[in-house]
Amino acid sequence: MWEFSGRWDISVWLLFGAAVDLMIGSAVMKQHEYVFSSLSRLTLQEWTGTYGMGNLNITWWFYLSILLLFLLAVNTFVCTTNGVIVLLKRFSSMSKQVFFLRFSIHIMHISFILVLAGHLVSHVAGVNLPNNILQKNGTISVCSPNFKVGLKDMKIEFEKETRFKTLEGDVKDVSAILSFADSKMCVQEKLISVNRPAWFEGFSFHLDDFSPKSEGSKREPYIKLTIKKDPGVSLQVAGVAFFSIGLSVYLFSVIRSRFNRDRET
Amino acid sequence: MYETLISLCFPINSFYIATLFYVASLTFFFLSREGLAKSFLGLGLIVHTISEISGRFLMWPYCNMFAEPFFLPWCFSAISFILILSRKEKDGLSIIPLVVIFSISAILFSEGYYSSFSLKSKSIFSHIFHLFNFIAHACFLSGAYLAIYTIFKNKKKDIPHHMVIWGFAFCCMAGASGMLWNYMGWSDTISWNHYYFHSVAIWFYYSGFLHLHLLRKWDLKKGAWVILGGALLVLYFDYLPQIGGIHLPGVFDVNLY
Repeated sequence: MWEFSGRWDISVWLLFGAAVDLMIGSAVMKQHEYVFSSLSRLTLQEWTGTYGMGNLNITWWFYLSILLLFLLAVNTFVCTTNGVIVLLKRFSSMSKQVFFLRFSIHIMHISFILVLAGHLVSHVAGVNLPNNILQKNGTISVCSPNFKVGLKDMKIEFEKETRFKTLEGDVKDVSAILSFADSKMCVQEKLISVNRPAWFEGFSFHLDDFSPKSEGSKREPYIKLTIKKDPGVSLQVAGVAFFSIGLSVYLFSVIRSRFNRDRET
Repeated sequence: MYETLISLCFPINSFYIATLFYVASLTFFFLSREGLAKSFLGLGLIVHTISEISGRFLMWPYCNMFAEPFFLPWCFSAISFILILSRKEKDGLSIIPLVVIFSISAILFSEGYYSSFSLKSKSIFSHIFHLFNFIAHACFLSGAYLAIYTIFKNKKKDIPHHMVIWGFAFCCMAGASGMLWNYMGWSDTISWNHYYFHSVAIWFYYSGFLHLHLLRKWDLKKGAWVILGGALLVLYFDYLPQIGGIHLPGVFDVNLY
């Protein structure tokens, strides 16, 4: 069973299978984007109970992709374990360069499993609180009455004398100062803006929307926050970082061996 | 919209000039005047680089997310030049037709040279994601082109596979950057839309190919057809939507910018 699950031809079939499944999924998604966009605010189990099982004719490819990715993760794990054992046994008989070249491939494989695990944790164990509207000097509670976040100040800059006249008067940048208070009444202030979330007590605070969007508007200023607790994101970032290291080592080894070969010839 | 983008005349006009140099380079390539072909390719690359830098400078810090039709020919000419400099002259010169085809298709089929000016595109991760993604596509497409070229010339060469390996490396880096951009901007590392899923599908496709290639399970000829399949996927899912799908040609008027 162990040997079978680590076969190289299974990994190739699974990779091409996942590619075909996701291509079909992409085409289905184009027609039914609302069904899948809800996954950005619901956990996998909530989504399954609402959209997923109720639209199996649209969502079947998504469940198939989860199955294929699970099998791929198992296959990658077995392959990598076997490969690392063989590599360590032959460590003394091979050059450092060959060792690093081969080991870099295993680093990439392990990183891939880490990224997949991270995604699973994010979408199963994550907490997602969208649409939190905050007006200036207003506060809201996050998960418990003792954990509060407030909007202390916000600043909206508008485009002026820009080289693109269509942008004139549009929002150039928006930033807000949030004040956080936890159960120990410890207060901290943090700046957030578009593409710049703030983190506090394991939660991340993302600027989702704001108002006003035009200069001179008499609407009451507000920001809309998406608040998340995503325990999988650190796993994903670690996976991506390790993958980058593995990839860099691999490319460096390949370039070096090619350079040496060219020099010899 | 159009009357306001006057300053974009410079990158567009310089793109036209670069295309003229590329066409001259192709002409000399067909006339077997390789020295002149290389010189015009180099000139085209310089002017095209100026076009790219000026276009991005004018839009900075916004990211021109739909600039692939104009950026791909630059990547092809850069790849061609790199191959020439690394003593793979014939392979480098053989890419010139690809440079010209994609330059002319940008002029005739692209729907415009403008940015979406989205606030969320003002992120360094967005710039890295798009640039690396375009470079990855260029590597995949030129790899497929060289693979088919070598099959028809009945040669066995590793270059197409190396192009795919580099394309895959850029694709991974683009994916990492895209993940961070998405998390910073939309609070999720996955973008739940069809663009994201077809990109992931293409990544899996090339992963499958690289497993076949690196384990030496398929010969170069069979591999070439798989590389071609990947290039068709890139063209269908990424390039075609950026030039507005299949439509009749029409040179876009630079005076509108």
